[in-house]
Amino acid sequence: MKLESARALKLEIASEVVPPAVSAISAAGGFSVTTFALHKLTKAEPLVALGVAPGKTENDVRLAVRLQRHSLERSDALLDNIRKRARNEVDVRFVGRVAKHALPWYRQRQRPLQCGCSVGHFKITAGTIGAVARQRKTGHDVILSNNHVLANENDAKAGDAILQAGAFDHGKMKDAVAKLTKWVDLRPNGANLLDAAIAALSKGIDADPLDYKGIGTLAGARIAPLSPGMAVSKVGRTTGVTRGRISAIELDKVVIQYDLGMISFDDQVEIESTGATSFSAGGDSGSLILDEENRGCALLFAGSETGGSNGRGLTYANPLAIVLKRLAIDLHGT
Amino acid sequence: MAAVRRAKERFSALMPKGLDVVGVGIGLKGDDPALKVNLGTAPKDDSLLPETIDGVPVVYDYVGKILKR
Repeated sequence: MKLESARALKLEIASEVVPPAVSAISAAGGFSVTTFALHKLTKAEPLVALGVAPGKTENDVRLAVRLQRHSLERSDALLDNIRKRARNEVDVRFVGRVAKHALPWYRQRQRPLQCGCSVGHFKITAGTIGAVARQRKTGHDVILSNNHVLANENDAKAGDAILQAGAFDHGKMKDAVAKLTKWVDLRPNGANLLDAAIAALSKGIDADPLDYKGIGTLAGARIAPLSPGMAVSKVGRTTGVTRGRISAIELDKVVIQYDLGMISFDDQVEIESTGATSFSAGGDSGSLILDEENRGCALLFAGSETGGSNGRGLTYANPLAIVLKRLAIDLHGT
Repeated sequence: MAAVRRAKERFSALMPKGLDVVGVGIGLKGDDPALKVNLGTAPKDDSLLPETIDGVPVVYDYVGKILKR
């Protein structure tokens, strides 16, 4: 049918066909009801959604009928009437209740702070809380993430506000949870080893340093050296929990694009996904990488879209031992 | 592993000039340690790339651009 005919038919069916069918079902016992708070009840009720679907040829369309109730699906009178009026040029499907897509927990505000969730310096988009670690000198808890997440690629000062969720995830200054404390400068000239920073938790902000949702309980830091082939996992702000294996260690001359320019890193860890998607994506920066015994072993900071034995891209991370040493912190769980 | 570390040190001297290297490290070929060389772009002539260095297998991976995450 033509598009104009489909539009007219939509109006006709919505006003002349659906209401009597709904009344008939109500009179015969009504629809099922889901239990929830009365104040959440609105006048909008899931019944039938009408639209336009592609037809058999390029300029041809059909009436799209999306049923949200099984009682309507079983109503021969309703469907026969619609098919008759549309001269069978109709695409009927049962879709059920349609819910809004809820944001995953790791992109939302989390109190107490949760490892793996969104965080960032107030001037950046968002990265990930890798860990809540203990500062050796003071014994205070700090957020561990990357320089480019907490210190805006060196363009920050001690005491700057760190937001959870990060600004890209609608974090505002009222969502400040920590103050930037210490970072390792990124150097555009020469080889870098780390992209790391810490921020001290503000008074009254609680955190759960051991729970890595979807993975398990943090068992401290790995002491044994890393080796190629080792299984690892992480939870991060963008891709959540992912699993992979170490594809290379002691990787030198890793050239990475920052806002500061191209920056070279030595002695890095490379990871490829063992799942159906890539191991990481933008926003996962700062995630702690855990070994099979849930010990922290590396700090995620970069990645490629291609490469790896499965072609799903590669992820790069700083070995954790040097991160902990340079920032003078320890993981909980040891 | 020690042999791969030595091959890694020798890598620069043995590779063709102008190669777009974005990482050199220790990876695996099958279950055995190997030299892993990551390239940002494919070379014009990959027949010039050595398959081994001092008996250590070399694995090449075209990884493209690497970005902060």
